Amino acid sequence: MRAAADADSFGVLDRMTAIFEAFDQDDRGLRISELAARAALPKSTVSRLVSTLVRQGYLERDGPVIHLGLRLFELGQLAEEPRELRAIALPAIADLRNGTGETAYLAIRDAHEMVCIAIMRSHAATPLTSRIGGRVPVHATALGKAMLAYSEAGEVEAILAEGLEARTRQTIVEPERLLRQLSDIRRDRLAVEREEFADDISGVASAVFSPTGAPVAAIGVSGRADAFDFDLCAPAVRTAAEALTRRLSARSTSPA
Amino acid sequence: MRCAQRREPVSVLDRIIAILEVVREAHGSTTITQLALATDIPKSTVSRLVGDLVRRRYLVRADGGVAIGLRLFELGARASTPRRLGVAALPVLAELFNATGEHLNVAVQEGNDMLSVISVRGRLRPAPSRAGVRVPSVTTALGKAVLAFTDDESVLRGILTDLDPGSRRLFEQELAGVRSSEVAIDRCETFPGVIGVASPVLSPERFPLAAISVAGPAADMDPARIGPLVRHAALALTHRLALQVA
Repeated sequence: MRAAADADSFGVLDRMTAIFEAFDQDDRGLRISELAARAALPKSTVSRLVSTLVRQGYLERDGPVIHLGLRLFELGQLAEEPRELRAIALPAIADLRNGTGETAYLAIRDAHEMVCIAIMRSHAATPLTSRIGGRVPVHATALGKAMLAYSEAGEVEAILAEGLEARTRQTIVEPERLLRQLSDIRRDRLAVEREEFADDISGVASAVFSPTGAPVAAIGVSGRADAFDFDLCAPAVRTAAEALTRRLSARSTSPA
Repeated sequence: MRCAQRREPVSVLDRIIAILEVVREAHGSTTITQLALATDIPKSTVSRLVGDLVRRRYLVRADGGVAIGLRLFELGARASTPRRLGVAALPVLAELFNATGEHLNVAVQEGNDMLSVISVRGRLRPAPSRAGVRVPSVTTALGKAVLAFTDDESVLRGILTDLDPGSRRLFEQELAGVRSSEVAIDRCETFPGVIGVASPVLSPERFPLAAISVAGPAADMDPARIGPLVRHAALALTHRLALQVA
């Protein structure tokens, strides 16, 4: 009995997750049949779950098309870590974007991926490599490597053990080479990405630390590889990361 | 037994949603005991469901309880309405901010509240609202701008029955005024010392999709000056949304 109930609760949660994750970043609504195909679930199950989720505001129905709903937005805005960091970091991100003219990103790590929590676009029409709430791999981005360089050995090993997926021909896929780069990053306090995540896109990033010295986020810029000015961006990113680290520690010592 | 089996998945989903709702209302971390009390679900079941939700990153363990997790942040960032409004509203908000320098919000109706989907911080500190925060419809300029045009009679009726007859008459008169001017005003009714001025964003059928507001310190806010600026911004947003659909 007990085991059956456990299996079932996880089953429902997995089915709900499969339905939510069927929606990708492009905000195109899905019909029930597309949703069922993407979530790999029977249509009848999907329509039953969708009607509950629509009633609760987690999904929205627009004619035959389903979208992610307002309640998810409301809940998501309450996630504390991204919210607090974003609020503290926005001036630093704006300065960084204005100082370099490139798109500036702030991201936190979740296992082997970085989750972008704030983005300020450059004025040039550079394609975005991620969106707010979007994920990019740790090993193939400056943001990820900047944080990985200061992560515990066990966490680095776990990422190496998963295998380093080649996103472009430039992605670092050899564990030894990545480890060497991580030690360079600690020396330079700067991570560099040369078309390792997307063709024609390069960038730099630095880690931001909590008052206890743990890496909490990475801040960086990226732009077109052929026009990317490393000499301009590297010091700007280092300065932004240091400013943000200082703001975090000033906030933790100031009275509430 | 057959009956229980058939109902189980639905009730599990309802329980998951009930737990997420309590965590949402807690605005911080909530303990298993508090969740069990608020949802009326046995503590052992809450504890098991919370474990599953943490494993799936909907929740995260924090300060002896649980709080909203990263997966909800990611999914929320992809939600359709705020995304669509955000894309359309940014240039409009930039212009309105240049003209006023005050706190701006774009909000949509959620039950008896208005939920802010985009917020631009102006001089007003501490800002009374930000994206993801609800303010009551009955007192705010945002709420009155939408209520004046709403086709959702049940919400309007619910709000009116909460008022005494005298206030109800005044409120109905106020909404009639909003329908003709398309500008609603909150004269320090929601936050002491804060005046809000809002205008509805309407669909082609003139149903309210959202509202846009300017809020500032009472001493500096002249509704007669701000009103036309907000109205202009709401019209611009209405046009931009219509273009998006086309």
